[in-house]
Amino acid sequence: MREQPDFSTHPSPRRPPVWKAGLIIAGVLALGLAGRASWLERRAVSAAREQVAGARRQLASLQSRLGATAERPAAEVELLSRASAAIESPPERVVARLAGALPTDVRLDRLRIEYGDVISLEMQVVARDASSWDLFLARLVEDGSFESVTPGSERRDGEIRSVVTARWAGGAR
Amino acid sequence: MGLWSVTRPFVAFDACSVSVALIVRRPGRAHVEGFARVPLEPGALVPSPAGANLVRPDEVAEALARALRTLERTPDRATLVLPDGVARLAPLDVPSGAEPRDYARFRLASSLPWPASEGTFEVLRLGRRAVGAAIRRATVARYEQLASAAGLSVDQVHLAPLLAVQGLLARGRGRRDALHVVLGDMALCLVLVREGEMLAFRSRRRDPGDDEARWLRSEAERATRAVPETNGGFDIVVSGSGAEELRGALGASVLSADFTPEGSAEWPDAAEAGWIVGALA
Repeated sequence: MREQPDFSTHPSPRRPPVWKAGLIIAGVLALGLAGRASWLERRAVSAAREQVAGARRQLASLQSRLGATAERPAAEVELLSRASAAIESPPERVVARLAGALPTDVRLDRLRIEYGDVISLEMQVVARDASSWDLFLARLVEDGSFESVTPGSERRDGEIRSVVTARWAGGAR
Repeated sequence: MGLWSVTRPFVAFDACSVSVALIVRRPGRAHVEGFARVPLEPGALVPSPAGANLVRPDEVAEALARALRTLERTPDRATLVLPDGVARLAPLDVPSGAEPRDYARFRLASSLPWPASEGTFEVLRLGRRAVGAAIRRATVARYEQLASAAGLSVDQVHLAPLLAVQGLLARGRGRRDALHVVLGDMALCLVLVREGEMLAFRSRRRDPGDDEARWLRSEAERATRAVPETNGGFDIVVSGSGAEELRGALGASVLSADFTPEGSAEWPDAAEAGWIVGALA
């Protein structure tokens, strides 16, 4: 509709039609929603900054504790080292790996695991014959979980009883 | 009022009656929801550019009150429609760059029966052409005061002939060329329309009687000769106050308004009120 001239002596601003009022309301709502989204975003950013600050504080605390750890007595450090190694490579894990390397004609009479800077193993081994003994040593080496595999003295006529020492390498394979 | 509809009350004054219409507008359509017309005694209201207009204001106020009471819903605000005859009207070709109101003032000021400083100048843009109008503010104020006394808050004030022209152009697209004769009680407008464009416009006071039909016939011929694009072929459509009598006097070739405002079937007076068509446009 073309705009009809208004001759009133006190022209008042025309009330907008409903659809225009609807657009205005929608605009105001959109503005409100945008403001709320912006406020939430700012709050999230603020929370993230708080988290970063908290993490930095925690890091500083850990670094200071680490510094304190470096100053501890050697015995305590060793103890800590052992504990850490025991947690990372518990005996059952080491035993399971050894059991996997044992041929049927070889048995362990005794096993000693010593946790320190490294994990040292000492095995009292009984093999039925020389070929089983050789096979056991070969498996230990090939397994990759053991290093510095050192067999003790042996007699190759009949049953072999010997001591094998090795170091636990972590069972990476 | 629904969410998507707006009810707009109109109060129209003319020499012979006061009319009230409720126009309901929804997106894409509008219709007449209520209409009332109360006749006035001759001389109670005399539309004129400079005269008193409301000669017997009490009678006009009483007629307005009766019309409002007739409606099912009495409005508390309204758009006033002033009659043809209160304004000086002229077709304008507003030059590009000119402020339309200033141009209308420039064109109409010299023909006004009152100082231009006392008037309100407005322009109805109609495509390439326009109709300029000038009304004395004091005249408008008297109509506004009458409406206020009846408890109505005045939204806007329109002119009946400008509303009618707007309605004609809105409905004229795709139709045969037509010379529309829009009758008020005291004045009339001639509007030559083609494809929704106004080719010519003229306003003058009526001269009821036997001579009016003859004058209109010769005026129509003159108008078509003045606009060569019509090739002399167009319909004459008569609508408004006293249209039926005039159509009879003009002859069978004259058409009545071929548009019945939606919702106006139960109010024949509404169908004849040219300004209603504009209010619905």
